[in-house]
Amino acid sequence: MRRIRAVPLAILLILVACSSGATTQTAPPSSPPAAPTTLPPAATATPPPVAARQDTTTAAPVDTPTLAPASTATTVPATATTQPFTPSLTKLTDGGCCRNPVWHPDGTRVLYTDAVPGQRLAATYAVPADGSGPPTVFFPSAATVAPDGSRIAFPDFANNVTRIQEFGKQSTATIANNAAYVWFSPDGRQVAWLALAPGPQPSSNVDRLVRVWVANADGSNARARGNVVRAAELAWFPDNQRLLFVGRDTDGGNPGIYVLDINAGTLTRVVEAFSPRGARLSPDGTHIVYLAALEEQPGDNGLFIVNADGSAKRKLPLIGGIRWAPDSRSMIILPVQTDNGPDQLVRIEATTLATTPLTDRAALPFRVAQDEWQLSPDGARIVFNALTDSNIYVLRFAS
Amino acid sequence: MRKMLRGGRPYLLQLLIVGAVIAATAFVSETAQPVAAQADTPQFRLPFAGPPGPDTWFVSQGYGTTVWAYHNWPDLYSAGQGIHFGVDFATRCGREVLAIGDGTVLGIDGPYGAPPHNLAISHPGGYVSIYGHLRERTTLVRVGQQVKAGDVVAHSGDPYSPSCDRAPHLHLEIRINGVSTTTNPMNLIPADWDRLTLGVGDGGTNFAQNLTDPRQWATLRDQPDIHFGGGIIVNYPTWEPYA
Repeated sequence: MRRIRAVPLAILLILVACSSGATTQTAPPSSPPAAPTTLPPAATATPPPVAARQDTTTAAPVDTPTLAPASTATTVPATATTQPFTPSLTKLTDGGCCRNPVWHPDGTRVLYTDAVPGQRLAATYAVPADGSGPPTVFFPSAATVAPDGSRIAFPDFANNVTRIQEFGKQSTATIANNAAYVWFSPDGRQVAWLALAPGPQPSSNVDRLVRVWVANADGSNARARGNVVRAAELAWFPDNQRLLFVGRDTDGGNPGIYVLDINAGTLTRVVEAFSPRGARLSPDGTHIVYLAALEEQPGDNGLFIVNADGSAKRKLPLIGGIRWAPDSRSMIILPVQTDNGPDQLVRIEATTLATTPLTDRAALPFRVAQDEWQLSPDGARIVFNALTDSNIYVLRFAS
Repeated sequence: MRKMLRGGRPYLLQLLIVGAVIAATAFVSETAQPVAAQADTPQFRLPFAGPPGPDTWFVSQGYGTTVWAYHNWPDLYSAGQGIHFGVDFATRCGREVLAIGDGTVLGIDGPYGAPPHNLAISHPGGYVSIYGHLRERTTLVRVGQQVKAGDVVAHSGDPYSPSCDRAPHLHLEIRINGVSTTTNPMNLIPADWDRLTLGVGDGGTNFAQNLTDPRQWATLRDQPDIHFGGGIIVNYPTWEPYA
């Protein structure tokens, strides 16, 4: 049994109670940008553990790693042109506090999970993306906000469930899913999660045997979809009817990228690859970008873009962490650098694969910690956890 | 369901791995026990020649409280207090594995786990490097042989597939305190580790955030040493987008 079930019931009751209050005070997604949401007294009585710096800086400190193995990543073509906009960095936190920052769907705030003094379990903080204010508790629990900003999901470890609350409403839906992480559908009306498949879990070095489950965000109609597979992460198509994941058969074979139709329950392997990694679906659902690795033929390795049905495979000119722009017309990549130096943001056009540097490594040095970055809803900024000081920064690279 | 899987019947392979690792704390194959690690740290290097890349090698799982280890420790890492007590380098079977430092071959297929084959090299200062999931019992070196950093000592393999089509990788450990403890190789081998993952973040390179202490063990380098046979240290609540 997971020890997390041992969380004192009283604490969880407090959390649930706080969550009910929080939803009534949180701006719906259609509202104009608002000041950081405050919480009921129980949650706001304690100050946040970090203080935001109000100033905007143009450079972040960069460490000097000792040895950089070479990489197969190519450098940005010299013929590419730099756009006229002058990028800038804004430091949002101090104290080396923060991991895995994500954008609030309204694009004005950055969310992350951190401790609350006097509270046993961590909470979700929000900090203004422009550095105009300090972090405040956004929600008294680790949580996930729906892409449309309509709802929030959070674990209730005491009761072994995930709870979902619609902003502005008092009622809370319950998903009996062992308090598993859930992925909201784009419209916020459904959630999906991965549950361990019944029966033995033979030891292996590939992902566990799971089944994909889907439920309505109000907790109704929970059902398993598709066959038992090996998978660890899900992504929704914009039609709210299909899910994409990197997976394998139950015996660990047939690795690839799969699409699950949650209505038909059918599972289709759209990409066959030896060891696909980091698959990312374009926001319009038409393309997938992924890293192919350890294929027999060297030319078959690298970042590839394919149509969502696996057709029209094309190789990208760079390797690195990559995200889709909101309009699905381009991708933003942090190419793997070979010189231990700072990172650089580069745009890759989806149609032509042309690359354009978005930042200058010398003028705006920064280092992102281990792929912990996310593109903003407006596609003009990234938020990242800095390798240099474990703080959260926003880098604006377009107006 | 999770209760049954985590606390239920043990599997043969798990028992073998756990038993072998625990046994390694009691004796060392074919040679004398190394001394406890000392303050003078030897200069280590990466275990492969050539650059990382999707067609050569890359880090697929870091050392420590990875999300993947958090979910898979009952099957794989219960002997190591529930964390991934080495670094996994994904690479196709047969890649030449290099000694990470000068030393003496301590054991071949000794009681160090990481099947199907392993190699242990003792280094000055009480450090022992262990290379796991090797393709075959290595014949490139013999017990007691002196090796230099960069010498080819073995070939990489796949722990669960003789045909090397599941998860081929090298598992590298650095042990101290007479091989009873592992420590993070990323703090002993100079490298730009954050880029050895090729920019891909997943359950192998992200760490399961402890919601009771969310800043604990948060980065590739800030990870705990573990003592074989010690209690599980990852029994904490987390909420991660990797299952």
